[in-house]
Amino acid sequence: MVIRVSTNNLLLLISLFFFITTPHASAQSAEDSAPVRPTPRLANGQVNLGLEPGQKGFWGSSGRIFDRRGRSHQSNLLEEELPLQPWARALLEYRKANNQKDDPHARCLPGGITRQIQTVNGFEILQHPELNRIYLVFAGGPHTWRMIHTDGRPLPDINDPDLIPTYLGYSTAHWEEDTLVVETNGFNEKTWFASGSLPSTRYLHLTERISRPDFETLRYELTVDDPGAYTQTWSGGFDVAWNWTSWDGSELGELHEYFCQDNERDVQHFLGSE
Amino acid sequence: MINSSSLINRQTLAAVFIILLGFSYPLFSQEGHPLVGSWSGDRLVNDKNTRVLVLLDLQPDQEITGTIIENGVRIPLSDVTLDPQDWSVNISAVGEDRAGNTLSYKIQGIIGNLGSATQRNISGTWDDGTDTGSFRLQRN
Repeated sequence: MVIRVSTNNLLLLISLFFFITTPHASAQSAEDSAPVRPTPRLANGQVNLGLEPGQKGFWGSSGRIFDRRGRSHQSNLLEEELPLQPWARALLEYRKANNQKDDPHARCLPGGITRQIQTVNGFEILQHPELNRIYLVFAGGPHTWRMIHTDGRPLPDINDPDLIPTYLGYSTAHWEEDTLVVETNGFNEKTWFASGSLPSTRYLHLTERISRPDFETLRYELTVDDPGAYTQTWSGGFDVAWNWTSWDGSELGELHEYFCQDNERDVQHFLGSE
Repeated sequence: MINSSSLINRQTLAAVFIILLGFSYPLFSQEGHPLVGSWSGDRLVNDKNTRVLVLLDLQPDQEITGTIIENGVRIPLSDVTLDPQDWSVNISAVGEDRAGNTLSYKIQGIIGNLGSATQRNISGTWDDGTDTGSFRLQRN
């Protein structure tokens, strides 16, 4: 029996300890019992997916795009129901059997776009309608940020020999009423795109539907289209919670500085069956 | 007038161009399909060591296509199969050498260090139609 405790997991355990043992936990309970705050909006009427002026906090604590535990959606597929190609199913089983020791995210490489949202340490969403851009700023992993274009540009042709595939791909988005719909392709296959060791190929095309039904809830729904790794398109999602306090329990309610690369010593201790 | 040295240079340039052409295709897949990507290594058949580069790509219909490049010659793969039960690989390739002689290869191997993006390898036997030897490829 091998137990792997990564820096991220250790940080999460410490955060949970502070969360449970400090007075902020009771303050959080008071927040929970308060009336649900309405969805905030920008001056142009667009749903504000991020921080409001005068408020504090950030997004963190999410679920999975398959499985139904925690904040995962109850409509999600179970792992055994995922429409994986035979090689992808075998690779998933291999990764699980090896305690995910080859996870690139554990080597401080960027997580995939959904994986970043699922990573501990939280994230912020910064909307700039005047720039036709939305930024996602992630505190976890290698301190990554992601840019989503809202200027109506098309997705790149993944068969274009001049296209440079990237870790986070190329994202373009539009609003469907109060839901931000983000299309992304052009991935370089160097990530595990979501939590749960899921394989993907260069054909991966992700459609994220992001909404904020109330102030403290970010609804994240993902459609996975990748004929290289899956036999058919499938969807799943989870909710993300608004965090009023920092991970250390302080009242600041801000992302803290965390660099996965700093003094990283976990990888050499990762063990698997081979 | 073409002298022998300029001919060699042209051949060398052509080989480099062909190799670079192969690299220009987006063959990353460190975490995707385990076979896809650029592999390089040696085959040892009939006591002759030959440096080889193998490029493999996955098509949306799950067909795996690719090319072997050796001695500056591209040899298209006619059939590639992967058995995910044991990660065994079978590759067939048919082409011609510089002199126009037919090349026909049957390659059988096993993927090793499957989960590693940098240490993954394939090793096994290489049949060149006349003799059978060994090979080992490392993922680039």
